[in-house]
Amino acid sequence: MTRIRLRRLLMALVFANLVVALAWVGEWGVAPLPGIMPKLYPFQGIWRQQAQKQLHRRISSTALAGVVEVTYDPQGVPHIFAEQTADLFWVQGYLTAKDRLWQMDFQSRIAEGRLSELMGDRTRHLDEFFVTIGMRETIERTDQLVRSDPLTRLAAERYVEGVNAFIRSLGPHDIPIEYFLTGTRPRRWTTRELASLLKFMSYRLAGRSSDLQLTHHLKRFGRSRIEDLFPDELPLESPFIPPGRWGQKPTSGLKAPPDFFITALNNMPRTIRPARANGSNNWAVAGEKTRSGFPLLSNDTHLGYTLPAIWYEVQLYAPDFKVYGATIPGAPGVILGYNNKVAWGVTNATLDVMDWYEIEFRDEQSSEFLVEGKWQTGTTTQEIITVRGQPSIEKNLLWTHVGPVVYREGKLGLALKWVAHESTNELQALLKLNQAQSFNECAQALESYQVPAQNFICADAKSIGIWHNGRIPSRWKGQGRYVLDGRREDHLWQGFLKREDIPQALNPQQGFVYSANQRPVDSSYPHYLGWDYADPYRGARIREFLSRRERLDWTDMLDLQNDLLNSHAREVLPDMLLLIERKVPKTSEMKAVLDELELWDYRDHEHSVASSIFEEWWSRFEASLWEDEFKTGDDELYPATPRTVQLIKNLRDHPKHNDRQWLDRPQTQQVEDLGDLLAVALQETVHQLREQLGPELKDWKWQFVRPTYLPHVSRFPGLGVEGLEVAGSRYTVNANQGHHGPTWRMIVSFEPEPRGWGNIPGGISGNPFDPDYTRFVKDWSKGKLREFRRYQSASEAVREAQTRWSFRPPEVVQ
Amino acid sequence: MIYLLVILVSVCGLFLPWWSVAGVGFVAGWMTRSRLRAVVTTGLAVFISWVSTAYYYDLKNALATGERLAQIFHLPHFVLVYMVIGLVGGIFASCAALSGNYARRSFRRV
Repeated sequence: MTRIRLRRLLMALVFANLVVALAWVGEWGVAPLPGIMPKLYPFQGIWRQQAQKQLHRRISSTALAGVVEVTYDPQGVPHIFAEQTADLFWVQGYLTAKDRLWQMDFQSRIAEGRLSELMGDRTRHLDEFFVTIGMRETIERTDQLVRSDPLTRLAAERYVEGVNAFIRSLGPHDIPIEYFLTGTRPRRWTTRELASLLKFMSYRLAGRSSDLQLTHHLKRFGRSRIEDLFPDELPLESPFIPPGRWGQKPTSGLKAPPDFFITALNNMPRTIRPARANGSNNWAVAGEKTRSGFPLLSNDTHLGYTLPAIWYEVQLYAPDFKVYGATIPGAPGVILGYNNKVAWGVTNATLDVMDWYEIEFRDEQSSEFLVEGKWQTGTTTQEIITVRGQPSIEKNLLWTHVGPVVYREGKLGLALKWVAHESTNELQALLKLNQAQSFNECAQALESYQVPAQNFICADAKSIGIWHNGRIPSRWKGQGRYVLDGRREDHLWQGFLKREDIPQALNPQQGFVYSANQRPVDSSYPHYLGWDYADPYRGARIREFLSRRERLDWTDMLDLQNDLLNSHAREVLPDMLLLIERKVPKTSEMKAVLDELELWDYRDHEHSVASSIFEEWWSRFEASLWEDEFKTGDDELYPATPRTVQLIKNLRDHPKHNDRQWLDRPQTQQVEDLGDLLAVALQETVHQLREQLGPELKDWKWQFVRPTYLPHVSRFPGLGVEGLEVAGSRYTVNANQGHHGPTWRMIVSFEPEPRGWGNIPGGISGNPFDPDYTRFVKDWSKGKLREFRRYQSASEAVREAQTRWSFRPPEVVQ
Repeated sequence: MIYLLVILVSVCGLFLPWWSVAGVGFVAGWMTRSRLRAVVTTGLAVFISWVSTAYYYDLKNALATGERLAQIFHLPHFVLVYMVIGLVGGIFASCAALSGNYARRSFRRV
C-alpha cells in the first residue's frame, strides 16, 4: 500500500507548473516579445541553421528557359551567368531576395507609406508624410510606365517572379529574423514595389527643399538680408563644368515677374527632409593624364550607413547583358558599375526641384482654388494607411494644378510641385547604360534619365564626360527660392531645359571631369539652377588634386578617395586663431589646445585631436552666431559654411562691415566682437571635450568625438556594428560623417580592358547571423578596396567558386 | 549517469523541441534518490549538451551567431552567450528534475 505525502506532492506540482510556465514563455513569448527559445535552441535554432548553410544547390523551375549558373567568388560576391537575358533577371530577383529579403521589403514600403504595416505605430508619421506628398499616385503611374516599355517590363516582371519564387520556397523556419521580431510575414512582390524603390531614391536624392525655411527667414528679415546670407552662388564656389562653354549671349528668355511675392501664410509646415549630406564624389581622368594612357574613373556615393549594406554587389552575365556593379536590392540591373566597354558613376545633382505654391481656396473646406482669377476644382483621392496593431488611418489628398496640397491654414494652403511627381522611367535609362558598348551609347542612354538628377560621369577607353543629368525645370532667376504664388501662371514652371542646355563637359582640355554635389556652373551659365547646392570643399580639393598631378594610376584614385585634407579648416582656422589672440585665458590646457591647432596638418585622421577641437569649435561658433536668428524649435537653416567663412574674413578686414549686425545677441547690451564670440566658443569646446573624454588632450580623438557606426536598416538594436575607427569628415573627400558617408566605392581603370576595384560598408548577406553580413566592414573602414572579379565565362567563375547554385528548367538533365 | 543524460538530451535535441528536456529531467529526477544529485546532474548534463552543441555549430559559422547574439543581449563576450543559453536549459531541466524527484518521493510504501 502506498501513502501519499501531500507536502511533497505539492512541491512536485509547483515545479511541474513552473516548468510548464517556462516552456510556454520560451515557446510563445509574452506580448509583445515573441518566444525566442525555438530560435536559441542549439540543436535546431539559428545555431544549426547557420552551420548548415548549403554551399551547393540545384534549383529547378518551370519559369526558366535555359540554364543559369550562380557562383559566389572567394570574396563572397555573387555572379550570375544566364543563357537568356530574361532568366538573368529572374535569378537576380531570386538571389537578391535570398540575401536581402527584409531590406527590400522594408525599403520598398517607405515611399509608398506602408511601413507601419510592418513596424506598427512608430513609423506612422513617416507613412503619413509620404502619402501626403503624393507618393502613392506617383508610384502607380511609374509602375504603369515601367510595364509599358518592353525592356523594363521584361526586367521588372522577371525579377519580381524570381523574388516570389524565392518567397514561396521559404519554410516556416527560414524567414529572416526581422520578420520573426516583428511577428510579420514576407508579402508577395509586385512591380509596384520596384517603382516604390525608385521613387524612394528620388525622395532621398531630389527630395530636399529649403524653400519653406527660407520663406520663414524671408518674412522675418526681409529680402536683401536673406539674399545676402543665402546667395544663389556661394563665395569660394568651385564649379565643375569648365567656364566659358556658354559663350557670351545669355539665352534664357525667362524674365522674373516685376513684383516680388511674399506668401501670406503665417506658419510653414514641418516636412521630413532627407539628410543634407546625401552626396557623392566622382571623377574621371583622360588618357593623357594617366600612366596607362587610358582613362580612369572613380566614384563614391555618400548615403546614410545601414546594415545590410545599401548596395548589393553582383556580376550579371547574359549574351547581350554583361555588367558588374552595385544594385539596389529590389531593382533589376546594375545602378553603378561598369561593363566590358564603359564605366559610369554618379553624384547627386543636388538640384532644388521641389517648389511650394500658396493656394487660395474658395473657403476653408473647399476643393476649389483660384488660378488667374478663375476657380478650378482639384481631384481628391482617398488613401488608407494601415498600422499594425492599431486602427488604420484615412487621408484625403487634394491635387491642384501644381501638385498635392500638403498644408492648409484658413482659406490658404500650400501645394507641392516636385519633379519626382512626373512620370519617368529611370529603369529604362539604367538598363541601356548597363548594355552600352561605347561612350556614345552611354551618352544616349542618359538622354532618357530624368529623376533624381545626377552628375553622371561616363568613360570608355577613349573618352570621358560629365552631365548635370536630369529633368531640370526652366525657371526665372530666383523662382522657387521662396513659396510661390499658385494663383499666377507666371509662377508656374515653364517646361524643362533642353538636353543641349544642361551643364555638361565632354573630353575637356583640363584632362579630367569631376563633381562633388557643388554648383556645376559659374555665373556665365544662362539658366537658373536654384541655390541649395552642397558646399564646395570636397569639389575644390578634388580639382586641386587632379589638376596638379600627371601620370595617374588607380592607386592615386584610391589616395584621393581616402584624402583627409580639410580644406575648410585650412582656409579659416588661421583667421580664427588670429581673432582670438589675447582673448582666451592662458591656462596650460588652453595653450596645449592652441598648439594642437597650430601644428595641425589639416587632416581629419581618426586619431586626430585637432580635428575634434576644430569641428566642435566651428559648430559651436556657427550655432552661437546663427541660432538666435535661424533656428525655430529643432528646425534650422543656417547660412552655408562658406558664407560664414566670408563673414569672418569680412570682419577681419573691416570691423565695421555690414556683417557685424549678425554678431548682436539679443540677451546682451552691446554688439559682440567676433573675437569674443570665437573665444567663448573655443572655451566651451574645451570644457565639453574635457567633460566628455577626460583631461588628457591625447584622448580627444576624432573617432570618439564622431564615432562611426552602421545601424540596422530598421534600427533594430543589436543588429548593427558600432565603434568603428574611420577617418574623414564632412569637409574631406573621404566623406565619412560617422552615420553617413561612402557606401559604394569604385575605381575603374581602362587598360584598355576595364579593371575594377571597390568596396561596400557591409557584405553581401543580409542575415545578421551570417559572417558575410559584415564581411567587408573592416577593409572598408580602413579605406581598402578589393579588386573585382569580372569573369569572362561561367566556367572561369565555377573554377574559383566557393558556393555554386545551378538553376535549370525541369527538362534539362545533367 | 551524467554521460547517459548528456547523450539522451543530445539525441532528443535532434528530433524533439527544446522543451523536451523537461521530460528527460523529470524522469532523471524520478530515478535519482538524492534531490541534490538529481538537480545537479540533470542541470549539468543539459548545460554540457547545449553549450557544446552551440559551440560546435557556431564554429562552423565563424562564431558569428554567438557574436551577434552577444550584441543583441548586451553581453560583453560571445562565450557568455553559450553560458547563458546553457544555464537557461540547465535550470529549466533542473526544475523538471525537482518536480520528478518530489513526485516520486511523495509516494511512500507502507
